[in-house]
Formats: sequence, structure tokens, C-alpha cells
Amino acid sequence: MPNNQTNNELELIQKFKNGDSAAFDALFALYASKLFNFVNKYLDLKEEAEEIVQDVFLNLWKHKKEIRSEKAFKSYLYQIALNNIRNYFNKKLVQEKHKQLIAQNYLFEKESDADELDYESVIKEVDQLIDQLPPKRKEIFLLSRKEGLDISEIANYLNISEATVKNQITSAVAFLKKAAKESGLSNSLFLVLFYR
Amino acid sequence: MTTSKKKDFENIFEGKRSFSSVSSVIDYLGRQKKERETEDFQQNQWHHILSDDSIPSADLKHVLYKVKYDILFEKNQKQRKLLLSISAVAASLLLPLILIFTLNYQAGIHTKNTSNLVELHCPEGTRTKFTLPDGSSGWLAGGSSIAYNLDFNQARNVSVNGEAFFDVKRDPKNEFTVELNDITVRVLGTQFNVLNYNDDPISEVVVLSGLVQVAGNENQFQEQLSNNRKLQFQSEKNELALSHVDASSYTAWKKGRLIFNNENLEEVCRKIERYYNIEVELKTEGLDNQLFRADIEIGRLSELLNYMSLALPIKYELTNQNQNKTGEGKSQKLTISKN
Repeated sequence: MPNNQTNNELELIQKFKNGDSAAFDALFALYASKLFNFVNKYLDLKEEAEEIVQDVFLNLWKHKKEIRSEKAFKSYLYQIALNNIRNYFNKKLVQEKHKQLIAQNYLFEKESDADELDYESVIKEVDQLIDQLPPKRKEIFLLSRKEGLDISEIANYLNISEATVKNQITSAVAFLKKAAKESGLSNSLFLVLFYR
Repeated sequence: MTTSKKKDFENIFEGKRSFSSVSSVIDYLGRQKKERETEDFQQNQWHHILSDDSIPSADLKHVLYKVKYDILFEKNQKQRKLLLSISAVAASLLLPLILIFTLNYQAGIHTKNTSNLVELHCPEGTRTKFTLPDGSSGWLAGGSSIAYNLDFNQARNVSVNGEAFFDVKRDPKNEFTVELNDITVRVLGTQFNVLNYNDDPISEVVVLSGLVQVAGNENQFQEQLSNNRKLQFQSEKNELALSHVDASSYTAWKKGRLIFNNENLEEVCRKIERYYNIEVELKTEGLDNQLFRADIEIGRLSELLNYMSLALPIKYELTNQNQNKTGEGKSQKLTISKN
């Protein structure tokens, strides 16, 4: 980076620290696009990536007094963005871990497939499979696999017998197993993983 | 950093979003793992983008606009704060809220009968994000408030007056309850919207993901709701209605949008009153069956009214009215009648 540009940026950051809103606009123009690009590489979802950019710059404004140098400015920007990305994926993990497990069982033998198939479309397919379960069965299955409740906790929560819970889970697994067979995908690991 | 994980991160940056690569990256970032080499690798990717001038720039003017709106809103909040005798601003909130601690000490006795209540209130005509001590978060709509005890982590119990969206941190061992005027919602970990204004007999729950349990506060009913389900309860008539909805249109307000999905005029006016902080009078003769669809940014009332008068056979009038001495009452009144 040429020297005059660096000096210019230093000056902008100085002004920004004093609450100059034109300097803030200029810094936004310099960095927002790059930041959006970085965040969207991970998220691949424009709207959410924009929301993170918004949050990062709002936080920058709030903590403008704490920024010491140009270097600190950049690393601060990066750190807030990364924290936001981590939080986003933490939610995604909670939402999708059980679907990933189901998908992994489908794709077990065709190892190369997992490298070829698009993540979101795989998850969507699993979603559609789960949606085919009758409502009550789906609810119990999700409480078990997604929320991580054990059989007695589910029985307690829904006020039904443990035997019913067990039956419903068995039926749900049987259905998914059958669907896996029909779609021609392997299910050799299915039983092992589902009856933990 | 294993070579395979490195490959996964590289793939994502090249836009190759395969099942195995995305799963691996979600797992690393979602579990908040931190490995030296992976962190360095990510940082290199960032520096690469910083120095790469060939990357096309994105049009983010509207994002800057939103940031400025939030900054401006925060300033107004600060001025408001001075008017209150006891208040503090929670640092963890995206937009500061007015925080009121009520400490009830009984003479001579200390900890035993002390209740420490934290109350958050969002001024009318705005919206605000909040974070709870257990890491759960949410949004509070204008004119709404939530309250919880300081020992929140022992019993996750929040009371709400008005409208709020919750994103509850999952904890199967510790139930999360939201108490409203007429109903109580119990969840384990999920996203949902609740609504129950003090001056309004209608309460409503809409689920975005997961499962919630809703019960009437006088045991009139008990229901389970999963995603995209809506429950509406009218306490006066003791009427319960369950329906399938597009949940995202009920939570759009937290992103500053107002979405009407084939709603009747009465419901539309109710929302206008709430989000624009004005009084609405609806002269309903002959308009009962008019349904309305719209998706607009909150804050532009004239635009909405313009659009409504194009889509529906109505005319409207916006008049200023006097507030009483205490500042209560709405400053503007909207009258909608048949055209």
C-alpha cells in the first residue's frame, strides 16, 4: 500500500475516533465491501452477511474511542466479524447437526459424493424426508435427535408413556431407513448410528 | 490444522460448497474451536481479500443507512435516559434499553425476601435487541417491555407485555418460560414470536423453529406448536385458533420490515397503531372482507397509506391531536373509511 494512502487512512481513523461521521462514511466505503466479501465467503447468504457487516460497523462506532492505531482498527474489524461468523455457525450447527448425521449415513459408501454434492441441497433433501413423518412422530424424533432429550425426558415433556416414545422413534428411523434404500443410497451405517 | 481441513476452508473460499467441506467448516466455527494454524489460515484469507483490488465492490449503501439509523436511535435513547431517575444502560445490548432495577428490601431482613427484578422497556415507534443472562437473545417491539429476576440462570422465566421475539439458547435441563397476560409459553430451545398487549384481549404465539408449549393462564387450554404454526387466543371470548402461517412474516418487524400477508383491515390497523404509535380509527362499514398484502420498511407511513389506498377502496385522513398534560395519548390520529 502506498505511503500517502496509509497516512490518509490514519487521518480518517483519527477523525473517526473524534466522532466525525464523514470519516466514518469514508471508512465504511473503504472496508464494508471487503468485509462483506469475506463474511459472505463463509455464509453464502447475502442478507445474513449484510446483517453481520451492519453489526460490525455499529460496534466499531460504539467502541471508536478504544481504537489505537490503523492496525488496531483493521484487527478490531476482523475480530468482530469473526465472532459474528462463529455465532452464526453455532446456530446453524444446532439447527442442522442431526440432519448432517442423517445425510452422512446416506452418503457413507459413496465417499466421493460428500465431496461432490452441494451442502444446502443435501440438507434440503433430508428436511423433506423428515417432513414426511407424521406430525407427532416428527416431533418426538426431533426432540430426541435434535434437542438431544432422552426417552424419559421426552415422555415427561409430552406427558406420554416411554413405550410410546420408543415406538415412535423406532418407526421414524425405520421410515428414514426405507427412504434411504429407495433412493438407492447406502444405509449400512444407519442402524449403528441411530441406535446409539 | 489437518490437510483435509485446510482443503475444506480453501474449497469454501473458492465457492465449492460440498457437503463434506461445509459440514467441516460449520463444525469448526460452530463449536467455537480455536486452533492456531486454522486461525492463521483464516486471517491470511482476510488479508488476501484486503489486498485484492480485483474483487468487485458490493452495493452496501442501505447497510450504512441502517447503521446510521441505529447510531441516531442510540443518541436519542441517551437523551431520554436523563429523564429517568433510576436507570442504567446494559452494555451487552445492540441498542441500549432502559433498565430499571427494583430492589425491595424488607426492614431488617436482607437476602431472604428480596426480589431483584430487571425490566427492559422499548419506547414506542422503535425496536430493540436484547440479550438475557443465559445467552438467549431476542427483539423487543415498540411500546413493549420484558422483565426477569436477577437470578435468571436458576429459573429461566421472563414476563412480557407487548410483542417480543425470542431466540432461546437450548438447555434441555432448564426450561425457559415466557409469561404473558393471558398465556404462558414453555420451551426448551427455539425461536418464536409472542404478542400480548395489556390493553388488548388478543394474545398470539408464532413459532419459527423448534417446539413450544402454550397454556392459558387460567388453564383454558394447553397446546404444542411446531414451526410455522400460529396460536391466537382471545381471552374475553375464550376463543382459541390454530393455523399454519409463514412465520417469517410475523417476525419481519425485528428487521425493520412490516409484512401483511392477506390480513384483514382490522388486523392491519392494529399493526399500524403499534408500529407507528398513532391512533387509528377504522370505519368498517363494507370493508370487513378486504384483505391486504404488503411488504414495506417500517418508518414510512405515508408510503404505506398511499399503497393501501391504491390497493383497497379506502380513503384516509391523518390529523394531529392534542396530548394531555402527562404526555399520554397519541399525537396523531389516522381515520380510514370507505371510498
